[in-house]
Amino acid sequence: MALKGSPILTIIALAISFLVIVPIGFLIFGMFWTTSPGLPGELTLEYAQEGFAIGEHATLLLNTGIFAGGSTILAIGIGVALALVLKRTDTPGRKFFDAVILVHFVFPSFLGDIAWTMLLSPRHGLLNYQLMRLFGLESAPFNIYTHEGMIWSQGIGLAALAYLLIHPAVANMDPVLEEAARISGASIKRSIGKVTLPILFPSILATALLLFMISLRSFETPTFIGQPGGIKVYMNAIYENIELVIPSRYGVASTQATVLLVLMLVVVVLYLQSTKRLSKYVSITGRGYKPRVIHLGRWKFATLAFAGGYIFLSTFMPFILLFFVSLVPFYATTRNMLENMTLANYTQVLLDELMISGAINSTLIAVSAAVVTTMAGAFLAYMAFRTRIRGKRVFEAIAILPMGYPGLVFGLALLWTFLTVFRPIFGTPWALVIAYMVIFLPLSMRSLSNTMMQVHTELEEAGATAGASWMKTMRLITLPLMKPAIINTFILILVYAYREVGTAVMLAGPGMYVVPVLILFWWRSGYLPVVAAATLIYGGLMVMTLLVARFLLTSRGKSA
Amino acid sequence: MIDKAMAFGVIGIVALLVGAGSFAYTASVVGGLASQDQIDELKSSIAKSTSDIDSLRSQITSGETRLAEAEEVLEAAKAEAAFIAAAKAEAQDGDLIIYGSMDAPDMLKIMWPAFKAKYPWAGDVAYIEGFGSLMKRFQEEAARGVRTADVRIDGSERAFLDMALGLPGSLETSSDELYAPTQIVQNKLRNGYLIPGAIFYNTDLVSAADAPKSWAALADPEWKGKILFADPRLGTEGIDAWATLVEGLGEEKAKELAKGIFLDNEAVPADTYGTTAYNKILAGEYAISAGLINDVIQQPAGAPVGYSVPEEGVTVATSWVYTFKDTPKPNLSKLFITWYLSPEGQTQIAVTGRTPSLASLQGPGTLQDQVPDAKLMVIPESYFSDPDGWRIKLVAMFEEVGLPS
Repeated sequence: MALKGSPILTIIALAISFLVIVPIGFLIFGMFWTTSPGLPGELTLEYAQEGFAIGEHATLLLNTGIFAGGSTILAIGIGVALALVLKRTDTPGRKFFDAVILVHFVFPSFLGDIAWTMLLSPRHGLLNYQLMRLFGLESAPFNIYTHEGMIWSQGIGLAALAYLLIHPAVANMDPVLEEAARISGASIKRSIGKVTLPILFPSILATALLLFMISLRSFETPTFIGQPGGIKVYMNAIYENIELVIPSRYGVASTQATVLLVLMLVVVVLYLQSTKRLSKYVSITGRGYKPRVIHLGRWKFATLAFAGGYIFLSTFMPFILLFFVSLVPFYATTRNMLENMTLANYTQVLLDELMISGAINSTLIAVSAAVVTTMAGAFLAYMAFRTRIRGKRVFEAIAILPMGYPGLVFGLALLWTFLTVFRPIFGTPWALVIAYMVIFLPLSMRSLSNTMMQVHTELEEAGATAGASWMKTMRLITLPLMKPAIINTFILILVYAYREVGTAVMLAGPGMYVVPVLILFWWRSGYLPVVAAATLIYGGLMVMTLLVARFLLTSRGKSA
Repeated sequence: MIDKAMAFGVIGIVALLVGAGSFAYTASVVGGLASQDQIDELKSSIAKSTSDIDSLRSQITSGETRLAEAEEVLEAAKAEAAFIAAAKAEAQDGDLIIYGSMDAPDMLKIMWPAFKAKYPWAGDVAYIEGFGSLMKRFQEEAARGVRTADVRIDGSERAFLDMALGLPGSLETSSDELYAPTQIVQNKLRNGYLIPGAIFYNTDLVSAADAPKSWAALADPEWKGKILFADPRLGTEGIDAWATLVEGLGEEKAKELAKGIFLDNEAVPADTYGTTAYNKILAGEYAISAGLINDVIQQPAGAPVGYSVPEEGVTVATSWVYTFKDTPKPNLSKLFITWYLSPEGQTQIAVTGRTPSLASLQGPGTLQDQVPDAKLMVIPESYFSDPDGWRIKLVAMFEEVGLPS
């Protein structure tokens, strides 16, 4: 039931797009303005010229391509395989793995990088050290400070996101085509390769695009792993102009970031073209469906090992390391740290009154941001796939733009926006809620679009034919079908909003602390064990909030 | 204290006596009315009266001076009372906002509570910790007239960038006289604490006896592959450190050092001359580095990191404290800065593990206590006016030495 168009829908879409376009507009204007946007200045081409004039373009772009492309391929490979294993097979413990995978998001992304350097550093890596001792090796077998190390750390971390974005599509697949393939004599492997994966193509492509963009703008892995290994990516050039040069050259950094954005836009256009004929990929139709579980026989132990191995590497291993570090007075591999275990780090965090007010602020802001962002994403996804409004895919493209800018640059754009356009709410919690909505809109959009693409309109059309109003069709057909994806998206955004640091430093009012910023304070002070304890305590709070949210959302659904 | 009216009365009477004497003398000379004895007596009387007048004049002058002094003291006390009253009123009008690079726990749990112990009415502080991004936020807010930091605490390059934009306010504090002229810039920036840097080593990997005792010793082949060292091409901390080394050692020796550390000894370039370097030495990832000794001083008991004071000198970076010129709380800001620079405030700076900038302060945590008799290598003044010029210069120096970019 595609709506032809409605002024209200268009106005809402324009309002959301406005929130995204304004900061990006400031950044582009900033490329050609001698001072900050909104302040007196003159037009200039100097920044643009300097932005294009940086040396080593080829090396930086090649390194960036290898890093972002490699990480995306690894993450998509693991994510799709996990989705198939956990949603379509009888692998033991799949529900446990499905729940536990969320725990991965509880940790700040850089902790994964730190954990891998603790394990695989050629100098003091615990795993390298043990292997060298066990097998009498003269040199470390692994070196995290390489291209492969960067791809490994980034890819393993992103695979959890890939799984979260793809699994609703896998779970919602109509099994008819697969069954037809099997009846025709195709093996499971052939059926997956020839039927399942092609059906999932738009979801996989959209997710890959998002992961590629996240990797392009990633700052943590290039800093913690790439830099000690002498590997420079494009983000280094942007970082140099913001943090290294005094005074910072935001105009030049903005130009460089916009070049990256243009490259990404090309990918977005290719994506929009490739998913134009959506009906080709629809797998939830009016015929009724129930995804069939594939019985793997003996192979289920192999899939169990795969899923368990991934969860161990991505979630348990950083968790165990973090837990261990939280119990020592200092992290020193040259000492027997088991001798001086202490709970003092937990006491310090729990007795800190700032942590208490920070936890309350964080929860209120994250929950509000998750509600607003999920609603905005759902709205735009509905616009893109359920209406005939002119330019609807433009709104979809606009919503993905914030993901194209590195956080270092986009944080400043948001500051300009709030100081100029939304000054009355600058410094209030609402500024953070709106900023988070803009930043996480691409995630919300992609997460919901993946499912929306797969739900055929004939179900809603049937409702309309039976005389149901648009509202009734929405309530009884569309929303129930979308419910798993909506809950999933809400939880995803909730987790990301809970973890966000950079925006809070720029936009939070003086004295309004959120926990990630407090953890950053401790990190800067060098109190690694306190950081570990605070991260685990905060992680516990996040898990509790997620469980409560999930319970409320699912129980409300059941009662309805 | 002599009453002014009484003094004038006395002067009048004496003047009458002198006048009468003068009249009698004149009359005796002219009219032969008085004997020589009478004349002498009169002369004596006049001399005595003149002396009395002088004495009285002197007493009056002294009294007036003391009165002026007393009035000055009274005015100062009134001004101080008005200043405190104004600061009180500002404190009641909301929290003092501070943007700074000092660790938030140190500001919120040590510095401000100590300040508030002296001025219980001072209210709370709204503190944001940060570096480059926070400076940018301050500058953007200030440029747009949005409520921003009343007080800034920041390192040299950022403080001087704020200065170049004309953002710090001018003020005089009662603590100023305790400081050397070089520690106060144009009555705006004041040196709040020092950040001395030296050579770190992991005590489990290098003994105190074997640890390098000079910057030049880092080029010793013994340390090949064991060093992590700040690189000016990777961040501001490296620029600060190498600008100071060039200034302290001289350009040629600094070049030799760069070659010895990075080219000959294959040191790993780092974007840090601070806590991150300390953590890597603590973890045992590298045996030797250089950074800020406060990290070692503050480390938990038993942590295996030591520092040696290089014989050529320790690097000393500076942190500055200043008010925003348009702060709506100029008096509360000034009160805080005055306290911050006072012996009391500087003692609390030592409690946070930082090095007080008040040279006359003695005791634990002071520069003399941390690096006794060490030569100090300070960041060059030209760095403040042209920080990017220094970056370009250092990058060129590293290229000249033959270090790959």
